[in-house]
Amino acid sequence: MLFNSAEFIIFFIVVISIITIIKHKKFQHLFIIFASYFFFYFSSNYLLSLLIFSTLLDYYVAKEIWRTHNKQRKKLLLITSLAGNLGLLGFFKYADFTITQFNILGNQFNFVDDIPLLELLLPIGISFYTFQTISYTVDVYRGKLEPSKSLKEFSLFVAFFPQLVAGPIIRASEFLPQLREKIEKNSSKINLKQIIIHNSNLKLGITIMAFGFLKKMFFADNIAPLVDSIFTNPIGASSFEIWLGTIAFGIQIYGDFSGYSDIAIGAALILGFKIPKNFNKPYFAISPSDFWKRWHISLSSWLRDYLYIPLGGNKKRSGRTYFNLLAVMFLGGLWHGASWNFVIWGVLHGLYLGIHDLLKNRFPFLTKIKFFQTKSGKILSILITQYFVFLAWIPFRIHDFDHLSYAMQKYVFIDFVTDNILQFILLYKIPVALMVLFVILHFISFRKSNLILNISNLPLKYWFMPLAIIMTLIVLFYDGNPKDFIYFRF
Amino acid sequence: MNHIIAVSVLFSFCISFGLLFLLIEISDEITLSQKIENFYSQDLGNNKKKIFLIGSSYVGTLNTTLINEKIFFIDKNYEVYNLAITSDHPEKRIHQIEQIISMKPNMIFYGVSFFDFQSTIEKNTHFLPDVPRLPSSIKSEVESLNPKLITLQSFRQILVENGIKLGIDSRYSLPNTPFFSFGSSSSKILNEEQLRNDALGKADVIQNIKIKHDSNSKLFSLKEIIKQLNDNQIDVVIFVSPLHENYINFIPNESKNSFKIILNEISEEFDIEIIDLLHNYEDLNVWRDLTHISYNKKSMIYSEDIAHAIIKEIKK
Repeated sequence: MLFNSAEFIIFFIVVISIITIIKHKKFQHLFIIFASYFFFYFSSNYLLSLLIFSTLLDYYVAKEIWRTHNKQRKKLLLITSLAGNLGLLGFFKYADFTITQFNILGNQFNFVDDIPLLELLLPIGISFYTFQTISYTVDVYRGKLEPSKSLKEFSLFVAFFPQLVAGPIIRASEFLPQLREKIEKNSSKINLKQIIIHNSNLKLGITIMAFGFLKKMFFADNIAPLVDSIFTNPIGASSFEIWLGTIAFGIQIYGDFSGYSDIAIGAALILGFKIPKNFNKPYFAISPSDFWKRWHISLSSWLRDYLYIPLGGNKKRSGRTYFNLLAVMFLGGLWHGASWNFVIWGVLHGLYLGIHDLLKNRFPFLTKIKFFQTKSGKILSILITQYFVFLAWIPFRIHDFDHLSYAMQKYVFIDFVTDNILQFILLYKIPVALMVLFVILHFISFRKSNLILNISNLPLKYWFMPLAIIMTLIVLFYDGNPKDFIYFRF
Repeated sequence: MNHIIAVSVLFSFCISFGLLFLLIEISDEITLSQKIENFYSQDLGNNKKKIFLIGSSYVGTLNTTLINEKIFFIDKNYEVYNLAITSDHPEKRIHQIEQIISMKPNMIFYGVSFFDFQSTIEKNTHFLPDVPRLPSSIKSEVESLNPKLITLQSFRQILVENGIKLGIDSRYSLPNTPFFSFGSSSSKILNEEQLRNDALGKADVIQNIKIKHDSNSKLFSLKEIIKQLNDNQIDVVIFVSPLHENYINFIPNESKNSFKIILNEISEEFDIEIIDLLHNYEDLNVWRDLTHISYNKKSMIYSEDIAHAIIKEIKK
């Protein structure tokens, strides 16, 4: 079920109406689980069984890990959970990719018969909910988290519909306490929180959702035609077109994904759950590491806590640190999709992080240069960082290797061909105008970080005005076809 | 206070949709659904026998003026209308079937291509029953409304009325072609290299064209359309629309086979002729893009062939 579809609006209104009408706590929680399963079943049908399998596996394994004192057994149980979750993810997401690589390799050795592809349907959200359940079991294994006390509670954590299919990836330690009014240690009794739709949450949630819809349906979907026209076949395009297409794609993917996250955060907030933010003005990052503190925060922090640090992080010798960074970003790239272009994207970011770290360690005086503390220095840092961030968006968008290498060359080695620039801009004046508008709004939101909160705090008689403006922009620029969220494919 | 918030949201909805309907009202351009309503509610005002061409944009480029001229020399009692709609397929067209029948056409020439049977659900079939969706008629209504188009057209109108020209590509309609409009790019003819590049760029998309001959909802809709037309004594001829060879080459063999099976099934079940134009112009210099023949003097061969096919049917 797409957030930007009439079905979701109807579904969500029905959910909050039923929650409001029926105030029985147990029923409310059961109802949200049911609604979440319905939400998933709506678009994934029988693949709901995978979600249920993942839930049951980690609920019982984590419980057993907590109960046992035998370290070997704990480890074995953890491996069972990891094998189950990563096995599912690997089979459904990477089986055909692996077979294709085998077939390519086989062709090199003149093997006649190709292994047939399985052509499996990628279960929506599998990359997100498996990471969520893995983090839960690992936290229990590390002794950082007490296992969930009821299957109902844990099922709701895994299947909570606002963030089920495309994140943000939430941690049990952040979510489970929100379900409870009181946690009694070593007691099987838990007191579930009554879900009350508070005015302040409703107003703020609707405002956040409205901005999410604006980012997705007004900006991302209307900029997409420009991106598609340039990158469907970039061969022959000038550097100007490649730059324009790359910037447009950077805005499109930000609008698309952060828009989704906003809708998820807003919807959860209306139901009384706080989901941490997933984006924090990433295009104002002043370094690669700063970018990853601002972009898809829930994934980058997951990779840090469950992959980078267990690999040794930066505690070991510097060579190992760089290897860890590359390995983590390689896997982070592969997580996005079973395709080499995502690997290139991940490896590029791994290189950026490694080189930035190397420069900081080898030339510490660079960080002390006063110029970089000034406004101009920060602007320069932002521009340099974003130059590389946007360069990496090219492999994220283009899958064909000839097209990819052409576009990256044109991005790096500017050809200064200025013919037809005006004509091109005129042809795509709406997307270009939206790009400019987006940059202005992004800057305003950077300067005034509480913009959404300020709007939601407006008295009702004023509050509806920005809401009406946003809705009008969405309605007037909607072409009748709801577009998929890009991150649904991951 | 929750209900006051809900009322505020509702009020915002009303403002935004109110503005949309205002734009529709002031816009000179009429929406597709209005065009459809206008066409089917009119009396075509002559006693001629009517022949309707139906299909998507690849049928839209057929020149009714030329076809009518050709037919006129054989039989003056016939008039051809091109009722093609961009991105049409049988599941959408079935919603107009009653209106089409009400116009009492003598013959329908239905142009089909791979897209008309493309599966909406890719790869695996669902084992469990699907949750009912919103009726497709509502979705096609919203799609045909296309608020973005109305908004942009209204902006253009306002700019033009104020004497501001931005080199906007104005669109024009042709006689007896009520639902399809042409722009400056419609008459372009691409060269070999441009078509090759176009194909390379779209290879991923073309290779993903999946057609199933079993449990294909679009095939079911087409059969229903033919059945209803036949029940009303309206002859149906199916023709396969032409595609460029670069495009055909990228279509998976499995889908090509399914497409053939579908066509054979229709032909046998309804005893109707299938005119196959798929490969007829595949290497000719007549293409606007890989799937559309240009609306150009140099590419009239497509319209001429359809005219001959219609004449052949009339003579029967």
